[in-house]
Amino acid sequence: MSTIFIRDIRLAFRSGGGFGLSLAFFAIAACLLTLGRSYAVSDMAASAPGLFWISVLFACLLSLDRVFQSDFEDGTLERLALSDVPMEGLAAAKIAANWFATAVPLCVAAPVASALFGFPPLISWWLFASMLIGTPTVCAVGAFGAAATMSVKRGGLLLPVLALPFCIPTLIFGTSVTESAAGGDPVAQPLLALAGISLAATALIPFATARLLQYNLA
Amino acid sequence: MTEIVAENLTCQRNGRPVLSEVSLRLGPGDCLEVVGPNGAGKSTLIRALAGLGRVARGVLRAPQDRISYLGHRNGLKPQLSVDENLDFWMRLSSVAGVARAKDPFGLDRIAGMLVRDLSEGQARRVALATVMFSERPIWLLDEPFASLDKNGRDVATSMIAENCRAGGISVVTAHQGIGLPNSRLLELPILRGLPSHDHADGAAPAA
Repeated sequence: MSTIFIRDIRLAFRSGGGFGLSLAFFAIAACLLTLGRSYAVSDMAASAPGLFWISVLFACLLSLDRVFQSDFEDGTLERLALSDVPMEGLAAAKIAANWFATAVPLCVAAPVASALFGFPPLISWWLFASMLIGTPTVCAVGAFGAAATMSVKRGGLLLPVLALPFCIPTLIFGTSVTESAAGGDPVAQPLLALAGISLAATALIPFATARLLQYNLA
Repeated sequence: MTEIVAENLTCQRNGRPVLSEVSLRLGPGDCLEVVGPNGAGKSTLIRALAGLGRVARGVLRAPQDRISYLGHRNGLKPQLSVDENLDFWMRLSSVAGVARAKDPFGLDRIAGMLVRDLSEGQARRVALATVMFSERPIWLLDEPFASLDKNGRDVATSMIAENCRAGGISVVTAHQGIGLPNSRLLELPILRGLPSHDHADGAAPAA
């Protein structure tokens, strides 16, 4: 499993791996969403965490559509299916690698962006924390969607349609963390909910993903 | 147990039979060449034996954890170098010996190159090296000689023969007989109602 994890990290940073791409996508999406939202600075302060969250969601899913498809197309997946690594382990390793290579840089970029937008450090900090805790769900759900669409041409467009609805709880609790922090309310409740969803998603989804992979390979 | 048993194996694709009533029994040291025209179901058979295809009817016993399979596609990452690809597959099967695997196929010269810069034949050599050095006794090779040159074929042929001598099983598909030493021949016919130009090859692209 660690072998797959290391290989995927390596692939992510190679050319065409899409490491910089999702960061650039996040930067542009965050700017556009914020610009399109409102001209009043006071309004922006209230809605910006949500917009950052949405940008991160899209940027994560953008990187996930090829997580199984490229392995499927070049024949790696069918050989991996016969290897000693169980499919569940393969799915877990791929989710972990994708989270590490894509989501973590985004979690770092989001508070930087929020600082650039002029939000207090406290908000940036909680934005970072909530994203770090919430993004494993996005990666896991996205990987499940990617496994479902891997044999579909242009499945990359289908993936967000499948995966985004399942990211709604993460989005709600993620934004309420920063909102609570901004309003001086306790953040433990939404943060714990966020962590709970992530734990459940990362524990269960690899198994479902493995079944889908096996079904799609046969 | 190094053994493959198939009885009346029937595979379908989209409800149409691709492979019908194939029975075979392979034990240690057996070498089987599967030949037949395009669309006869060679790839379907070998995928089924590897446990990668759906079996519509029949019995199949094959130990998946002892199988080393190579399909039409090489399973190599174009962005990684030859060495990195070899290392990946070796590590996965917990085998040490990237250096050893490079030797017979003459991969030392291209070890540092990215796979996307290789020719088809060179990439096939790398893929065959990863399969043949996985220390699994059952080799299921689908058109292993595709785009290989004379030297590559000779090396692969002798390694297949060596595997059988060591008590392994080799199943190899080819359009025509390739004359593996001490091999049996299984000729797959075109099934009626399936025009030969219908599929590009035995297995349509796995959907």
